[in-house]
Amino acid sequence: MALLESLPAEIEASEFEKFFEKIKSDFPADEFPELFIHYQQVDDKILILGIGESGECGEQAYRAYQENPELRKYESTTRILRAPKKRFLLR
Amino acid sequence: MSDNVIIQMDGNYPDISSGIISFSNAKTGKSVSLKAPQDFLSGIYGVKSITMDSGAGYTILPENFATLLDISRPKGFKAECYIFSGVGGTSVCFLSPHPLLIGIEDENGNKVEKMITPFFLTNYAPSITSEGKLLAKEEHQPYTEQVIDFISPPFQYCDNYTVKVSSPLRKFPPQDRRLRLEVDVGKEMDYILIGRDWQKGFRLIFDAERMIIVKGGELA
Repeated sequence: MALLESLPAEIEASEFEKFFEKIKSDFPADEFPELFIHYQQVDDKILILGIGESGECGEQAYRAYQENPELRKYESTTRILRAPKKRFLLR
Repeated sequence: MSDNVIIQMDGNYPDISSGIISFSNAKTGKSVSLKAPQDFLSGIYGVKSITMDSGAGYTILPENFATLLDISRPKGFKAECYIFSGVGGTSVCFLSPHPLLIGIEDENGNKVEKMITPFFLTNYAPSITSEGKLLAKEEHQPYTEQVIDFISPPFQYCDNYTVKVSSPLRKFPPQDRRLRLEVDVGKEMDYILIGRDWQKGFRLIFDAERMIIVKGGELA
């Protein structure tokens, strides 16, 4: 289930950091310990292509690129909004 | 496509020793396949082994592997460092800007796939000897400042899944904890770790030098 009702979601670039904070508070860490976000910026708009656990975020982004190949032209990136520390322990 | 893939592992160590492992950039479609064991023996792409690592939280690839997949290190504020710590040492990585589709195929053509967002390793230090120097590097600031207290040794860890392992070479009792493996301290990053980000959604059974991957199961 996608965290956002519909993806891709468009946000004003100036509102992006606020959006991060809202996501963090709307989806508490105990219920959602891992949050990845994949997005791209086109002019003054941010397009969210995926958000959720690592794999879930990747799946959503993949679908977005499949459904709209035009999106492949734009620079995109992934950020981690939240991840459990223990995921960074190797053994 | 299948729900059940069987590949060979290297003795007691979950190095993938048979089949084909593929990586594909979800955005550009650029892909790379490695056939075991021949491509590991030849060191193609600089990769000499791929480990299905039950102890690693995420999948980690060598940095030089990124360019093969149309991926470059993010710049500016997006270029955050992520620190991985283990008994073998400390690794500094960047997060892939694009998701990757990983596929594992056995010799019968059965294949399982999963989309993940992996990390690429940029710097590594073996345990104790040079971890402090690695973390203190200017290029890693401010990302490494907060992790010093968290870096082993010692660190406490517990997990809530059971790994069952058997082998003609060695017996492992079922453990309600991480699979402890012998670690080659100081091993260079000429290998790929497929971590639990991939393993979610699959049941992994390590059985007498075989790795059985069952789609749709829980971590075993």
